[in-house]
Amino acid sequence: MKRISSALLCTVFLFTAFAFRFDDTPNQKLPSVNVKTLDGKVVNTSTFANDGKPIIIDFWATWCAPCKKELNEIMEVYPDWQAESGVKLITISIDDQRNSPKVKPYVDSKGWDFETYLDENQDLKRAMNVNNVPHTFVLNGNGEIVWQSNVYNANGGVEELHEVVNKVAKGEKPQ
Amino acid sequence: MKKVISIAAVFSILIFAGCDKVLIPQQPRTVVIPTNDTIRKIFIEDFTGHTCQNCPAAADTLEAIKAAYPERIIAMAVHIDYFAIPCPPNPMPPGALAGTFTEDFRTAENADYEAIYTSSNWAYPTGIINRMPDPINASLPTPIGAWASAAATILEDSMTAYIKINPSYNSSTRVLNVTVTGEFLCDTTGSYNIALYLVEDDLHGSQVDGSTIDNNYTFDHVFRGCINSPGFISGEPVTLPGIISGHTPINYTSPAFVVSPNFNAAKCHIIAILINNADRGVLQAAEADLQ
Amino acid sequence: MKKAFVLIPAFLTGLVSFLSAQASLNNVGGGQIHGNFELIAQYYNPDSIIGADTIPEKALFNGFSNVTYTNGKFSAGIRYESYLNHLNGYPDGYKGTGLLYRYASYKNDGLEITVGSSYEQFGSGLTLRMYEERALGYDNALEGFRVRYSPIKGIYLKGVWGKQRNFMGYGTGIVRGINGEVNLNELFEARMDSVKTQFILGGSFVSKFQADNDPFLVLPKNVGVWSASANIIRNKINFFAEYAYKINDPSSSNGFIYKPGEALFSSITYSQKGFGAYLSVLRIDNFSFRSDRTASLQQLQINMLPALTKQHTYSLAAFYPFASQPNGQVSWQAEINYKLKRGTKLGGKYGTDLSLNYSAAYGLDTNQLHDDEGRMFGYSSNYLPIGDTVFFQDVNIEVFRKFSKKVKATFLYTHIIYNKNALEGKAGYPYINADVFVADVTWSVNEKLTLRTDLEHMSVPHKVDFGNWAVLLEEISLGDHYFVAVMDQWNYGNKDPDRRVHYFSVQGGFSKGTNRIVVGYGKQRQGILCVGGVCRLVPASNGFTLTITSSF
Repeated sequence: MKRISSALLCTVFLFTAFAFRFDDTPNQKLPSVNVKTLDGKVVNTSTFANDGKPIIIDFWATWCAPCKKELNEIMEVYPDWQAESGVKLITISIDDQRNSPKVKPYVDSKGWDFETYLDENQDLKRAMNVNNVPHTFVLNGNGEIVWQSNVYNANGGVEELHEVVNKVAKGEKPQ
Repeated sequence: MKKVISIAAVFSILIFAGCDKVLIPQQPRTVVIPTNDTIRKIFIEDFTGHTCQNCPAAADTLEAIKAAYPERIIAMAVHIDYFAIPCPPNPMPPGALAGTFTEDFRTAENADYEAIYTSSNWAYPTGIINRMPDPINASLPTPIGAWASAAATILEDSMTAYIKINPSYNSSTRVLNVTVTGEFLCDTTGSYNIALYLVEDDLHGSQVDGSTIDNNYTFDHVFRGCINSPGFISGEPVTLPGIISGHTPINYTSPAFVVSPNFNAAKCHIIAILINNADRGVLQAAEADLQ
Repeated sequence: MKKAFVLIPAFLTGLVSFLSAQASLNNVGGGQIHGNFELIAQYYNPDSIIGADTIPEKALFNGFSNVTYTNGKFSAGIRYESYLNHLNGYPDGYKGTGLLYRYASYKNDGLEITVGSSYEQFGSGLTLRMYEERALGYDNALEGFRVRYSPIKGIYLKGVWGKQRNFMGYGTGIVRGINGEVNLNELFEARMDSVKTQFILGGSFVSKFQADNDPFLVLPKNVGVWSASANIIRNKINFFAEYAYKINDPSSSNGFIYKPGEALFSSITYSQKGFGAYLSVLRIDNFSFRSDRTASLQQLQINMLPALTKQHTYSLAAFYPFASQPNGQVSWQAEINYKLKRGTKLGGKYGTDLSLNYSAAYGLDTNQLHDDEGRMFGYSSNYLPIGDTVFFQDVNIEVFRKFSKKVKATFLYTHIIYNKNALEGKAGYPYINADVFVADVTWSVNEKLTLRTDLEHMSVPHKVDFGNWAVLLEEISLGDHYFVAVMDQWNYGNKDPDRRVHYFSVQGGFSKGTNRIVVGYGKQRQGILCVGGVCRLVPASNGFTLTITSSF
């Protein structure tokens, strides 16, 4: 048991060491990749824009329970967020052809007001180095990635995202 | 629009070039029966097990290849790994009768196979041809579908050496002495081993075959053990000069070996293989009856 | 044991310093360097009762890191992979370390050229789909050239030419393919401006070449597949259909028959706010398509045949998964999503989400052919009636309801019929009829504590296969960055009393931003892991696991 706890401590220590390291990385632009709209149109990500206001990009899949939880939670407060900061949420479904036809019925039945795109070949997922879903990015008004998270936190993860977006909208640095 | 037309042109070329429609699938061929020992022979190890449902099909493939190249295919069925474990301790295949699947054709050499080829992760049936990657797809082990093609390719190659087995078996003491003779046919260097294996035909037992169970299945070429290096499949070195030339003779005498009384000597064969120690590849193989 | 614990942190230190160095290099000559990494290390205790083998190395390791450089229209990337040695149950072809994925790509004026490794999909993937699922060890990346070109708005062309990745090497077969997609509304924008219906037509052709020297059979060295597709969208309705045809392709998968292959995939959806319906059909007849005719399992597949079943996420609901049968299958799926309005009697204060799903897969109705014809074509098949063999069936209902601001729950019931003989290549098993109930309740106690309780039960009559199971999972989220999960999977219904085992495991994790570290200890049951059309058997294990993922 002693050994296990020391190994744990060791790894946690190392982990926090590089967690801080990464907070200061320079801002990445959104890569330019083609994705598809739910009605089959090809759209390049370089056209993603929101009049100088923040954009949230959320990677999800129909088989990912935490992703859906997070997005459904956001949906309830989305009108308030839009009124506050003018933020736009873009969801990217990484479902392959087994599930991609189900994306539109799911999105409509939930009444999502988000822009939703399909990334069937996972070109955007690869270009943005997404390991697993959920993975959320926040872009500032210049289209630079200023914050990202690859976990759904049940304790106020949505609220944290809300704060990040508000800061970014004001031109502040998120944490 | 010009671009579109030129791309369409490329597309149509691909369509016409990209398909081979076969009207008669059988290759025209004549079976040639060789008249002497100095011909290229190859060694196929078929890895199998009695609860492996696709293994009987592999055995049939092996027999078809043997029939196509008489005297030139030396086959050995190695019962190994999960599917070869008797029941119990393995769970009975569903639908099997009590008391069946008790046969254990595994050998002491299985551990050596696993050490060399990490066979515990293979999908069965599978095989190895001349202990080298398959000449067309470079796969090791080689899947069944590629055996015939690989065998045909190797048999077209020129040969490095030929070997001949001279057994002397005393049926009362069950002591076996084997000498292997032969000669190299080209200039080469390196170190070479001879491995001698005992195989037995016409064993009977239960075998899962597709979705059925055959309780009187015939197992042929069953590997029973290594004659000159028990526990290992590597065999023993052959004494050779440092520089081997076109007519360097091969003379090897094995230590005396006692054939287990559990084996039916009348149905046993001896397999000899000449191994190039540099890559463990088999250069030539030979087979002879025990008696 | 000792060694493993010294080695793992030592390795981590190395990786961390490597990654830190990369981080400071994020801006290089106007370009940017980014990437991600993941490692999984597992220490194994042998456990004969649950069937966990003795692992000679004691601890095993899988890890990879992607590093991508982007500068305007140019990008290049590599992925370093390590399997030292690969995790138990991972495909055996993954050995050692290597840089098997590397590419350079340039985009200009609608033309994109990629050399090296790439992934691609034509249409719905019936003719070509090269993709990766790292968790499964599935990677059939194209090794060669890929060109994407849009000469005018509304026309999208793609071409590939190369070999395929095969574990730590490349297959010998050569794959060549071209795909075109035309969006009529975009192409004839001026004339079709007033047309409300969208038309997108597609076509592809893929050919593979593989040498052979078979003494018995005249094998086709070049095998071609073509397909045509149409996607018609009008208001709330979206219809898609693709038909694909393959010429003679004798292979290990189909038993070396020369019958042409066919596949038809179609789906239609209807959706409006609060309601979504989906129906799809897939018919497959002799449609395994690989760049090596002798390849098996998940090796060297050129196309992908999707499994038309609900992709379950709960442990017991996913116990008996389905994978498409490339040699012959008819399958369909229907799903209805409905939102009961908030404030109504049934919907409750916050509304309730209902999802009904039904899927089934059957064999084809075939006639075995005899003599010469039989040796050549194997069988003939009909579109109707469908065959008698049931491969799989799943009827399920999922209800999600928010009870209050703090409590929400998902309930799932599913009835699964599973043909173990056909799907796992076994013999003599009866059909497995499994009933699974799941209750998943999330309770946000306060801002710093959330509890998720997941209760699952599966009953399988007559103790067939593993028999009954019960699962309890308690997941505790602490603060912003920590979680602890305790799980007990109890195989109380096993016909062998010695195997009525509790598979108990504990996991703890920390995550912040894009970094995530999870440690686990306990027993894992044997299971089938499926993603897309590929499944893999993960053997039972007992031990310590460390997972780290990050991106930068």
